[in-house]
Amino acid sequence: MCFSRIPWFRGYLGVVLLLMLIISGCDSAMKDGPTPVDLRTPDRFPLMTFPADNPLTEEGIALGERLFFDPLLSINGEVSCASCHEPRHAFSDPRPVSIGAEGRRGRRNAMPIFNLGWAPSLFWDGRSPSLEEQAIHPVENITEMGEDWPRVLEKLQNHPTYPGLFEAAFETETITRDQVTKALAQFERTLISSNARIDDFLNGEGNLTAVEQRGFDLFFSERGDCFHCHGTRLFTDNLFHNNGLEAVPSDSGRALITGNPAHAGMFRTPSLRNVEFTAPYMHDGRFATLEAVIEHYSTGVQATNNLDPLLNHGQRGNFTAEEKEGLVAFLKTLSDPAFAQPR
Amino acid sequence: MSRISRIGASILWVIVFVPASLLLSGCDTSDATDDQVTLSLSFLHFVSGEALHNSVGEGLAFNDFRFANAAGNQYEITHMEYIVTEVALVTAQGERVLLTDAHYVNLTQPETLSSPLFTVPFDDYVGISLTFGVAGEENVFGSLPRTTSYEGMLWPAMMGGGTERYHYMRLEGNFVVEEGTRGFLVHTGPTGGTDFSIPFTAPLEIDDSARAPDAFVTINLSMDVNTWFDGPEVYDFQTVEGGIMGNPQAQERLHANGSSMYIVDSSYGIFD
Repeated sequence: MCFSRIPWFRGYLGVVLLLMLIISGCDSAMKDGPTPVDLRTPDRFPLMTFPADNPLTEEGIALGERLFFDPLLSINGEVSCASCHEPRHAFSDPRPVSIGAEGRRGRRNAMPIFNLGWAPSLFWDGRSPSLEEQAIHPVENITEMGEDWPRVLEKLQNHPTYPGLFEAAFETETITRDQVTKALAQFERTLISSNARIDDFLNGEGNLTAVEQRGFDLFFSERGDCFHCHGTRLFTDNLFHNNGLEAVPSDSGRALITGNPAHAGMFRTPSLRNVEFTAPYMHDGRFATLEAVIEHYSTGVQATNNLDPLLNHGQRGNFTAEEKEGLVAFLKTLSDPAFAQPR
Repeated sequence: MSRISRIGASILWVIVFVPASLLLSGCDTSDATDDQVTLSLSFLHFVSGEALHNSVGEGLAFNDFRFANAAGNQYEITHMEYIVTEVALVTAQGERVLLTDAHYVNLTQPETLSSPLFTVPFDDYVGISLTFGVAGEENVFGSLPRTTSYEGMLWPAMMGGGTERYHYMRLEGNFVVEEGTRGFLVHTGPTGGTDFSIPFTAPLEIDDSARAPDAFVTINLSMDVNTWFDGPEVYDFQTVEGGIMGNPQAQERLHANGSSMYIVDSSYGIFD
């Protein structure tokens, strides 16, 4: 029997073939391109949003990780991202301020890198709206890598292995700044910290000691009032606050970006996850220990023009020795062992 | 056509054309017909009649001690965000036509000051209803969209009757005292697990002009912040010290004052 003799078949044959071609075309494109990654985020975290023009892929993440640890991005080949964002310190720097290529001192403490896929802005002053945009700056900052982008791209393009890695990740032969920053951003989005004892406790699968519970109760009370800025499962609101470090701020912070004097001395709230590993503390690394931080919030908050109202009332502070001990113990339940390891 | 070919044609019709026509009709539903109305919500905020921002969220009058309330507190606002839920139009027959389950408003995020567009059947609408906050047992972690905005409004379990819930509103600022300034923290929510959410209704009519081609309606929800402080229960920052998340009396006062939180009106426009 010849099907082409069936009248309806002749009529619809073209439609069927066209659909098959479209379907097979989609299929082959999927197989040939970078391998998509469906990032699993913790159940009780907010949903993470991803930029449409930079989907996660196995090749992009691997490339980003390699770039993150490669000092090739710096002017003298001595400083990588990981030099100031050490994996065993939750990707932060144990020095108050970082020392860049050619020995120049930075202005602020290097922030930890984890759970940044939920951050609407980056840096202490929030100057970057995305991980992709953020990654542009350290390369060309004279106190960090001190390099310029055309030379970075030239080094990568002439490297024996990078061109192949970029081609696998982005399907192009010419390496661009956009691809470098996208790869770095992909890797950084995968740095998710959610395996601390506090997670077990909040999920009803673990306990706190009596001392830790005392700290928990104070942390989530209005007298301690830590939770309004360090809330949610991320332990940060990712907003900007003046927390009374100085009566007259020596660093204008957020105001440098917005131009609004009312934002002087405001900085982005860092997450308290892994805070045990991220000393020293504050934007300038002024506090060496958690005890010093807690003493600041207990008795050290300075009156200043735009002190955050959350810190500007008599109901809070003046913690007892037992309360301070509890807060330190509680904060250490936020430690995720994976972020105290070298990589 | 033979029996086999007729069966084949039917199968192809089901496989190819039915899904295609469904897809096409799905695309078509976003276009309002003359039996439908396209509308959106616009959230506007004032203090004693002075606008806190313009209609697109610009010119925010935060961080300025220019406001005063009935208790005589001279104050600035530094932060204001809140949640409304179960926003619906009400017909003359008492039927509710849901616009949205929840909407988050943050005065520093202009995109939250208006809702997406809604398309609803044209009807004899007589009012709008909503809940300020999240009502009763609906107010539990996970009942709102899992975005960082909503989760930033979480209300700790130990102050929510043992269950993690959501703030209704966070309104913060400083006020002038003899020795300088002091903070006020108007955080409304389910203190001790008690439902202090506020059901709100207001008259609203949508007239025939909304049925015109390319017409849209903007429902303006205008809140004067001093509504929360000026009465019927005068709220004095000097006497309500610091946070109120564990203070049911303060929550009751704000609940009483908030029943008239919005003035509602509407405006009509044509899409370009």
